[in-house]
Amino acid sequence: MMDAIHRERILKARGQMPEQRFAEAMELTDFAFEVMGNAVRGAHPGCDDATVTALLRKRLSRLRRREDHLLFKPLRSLS
Amino acid sequence: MKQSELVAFILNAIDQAGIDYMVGGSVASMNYMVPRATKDFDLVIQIHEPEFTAFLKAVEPVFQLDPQIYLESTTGTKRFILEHRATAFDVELFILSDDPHHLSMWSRRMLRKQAFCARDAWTPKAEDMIIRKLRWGRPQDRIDADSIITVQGDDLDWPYIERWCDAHGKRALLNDIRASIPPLD
Repeated sequence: MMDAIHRERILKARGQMPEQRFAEAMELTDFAFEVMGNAVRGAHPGCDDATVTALLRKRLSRLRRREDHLLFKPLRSLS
Repeated sequence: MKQSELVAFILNAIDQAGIDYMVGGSVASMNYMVPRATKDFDLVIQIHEPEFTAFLKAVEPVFQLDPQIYLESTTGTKRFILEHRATAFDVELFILSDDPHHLSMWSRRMLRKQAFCARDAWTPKAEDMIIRKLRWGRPQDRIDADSIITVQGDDLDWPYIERWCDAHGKRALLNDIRASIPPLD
């Protein structure tokens, strides 16, 4: 089943122009951020938009640090 | 603004500032692979003044610059991060380094149509995204390299990819990924 879905997604991507794949990725990204924001709102009801953004940023920052591990290191601060 | 609108906003601002650039990272890879969501937007730029300061000033109402500069360990590339003030979508600015593959990727970049924002953007070629992904080699990078190779099929310059993977010591990883892809046609 998963193999069939995977194959279908690959064949669809092969049939798309690069700009169509890019546009679809942007739609997915818009959707993903909407879902992530709603998840934070659900976990913290009553928070204003700025707080939701700060909480989401905190989650994504943890992901960035995980991805940066052994690949990026702080160099210096501009401040 | 939605994330796609932020990408268009940044591309317009970088053009207006007169800074040479190419789209990088996952967003560039999306031209060549099964589309997926991304949490940030990477740009490689050729930094010079006063254009860079003018660019930062133009985007300042929407983005704030993280004061921390980062260094990428394999090539010594410097990275700045622009944080969107209203959402958690970030723009990562990589300064073009003198790394031989970075320079090759830069010289091969091409203007590609970006239908979602009705403009063109300088974009690396698929081969260079594979080389770059394999060089970093993180789990998501390997998945993305697999996806690019699978979707692009025979439309890739394999001698070019193999030459750079040899130079980076990544030929075995490349061969493993190629061997793992089942026939789909």
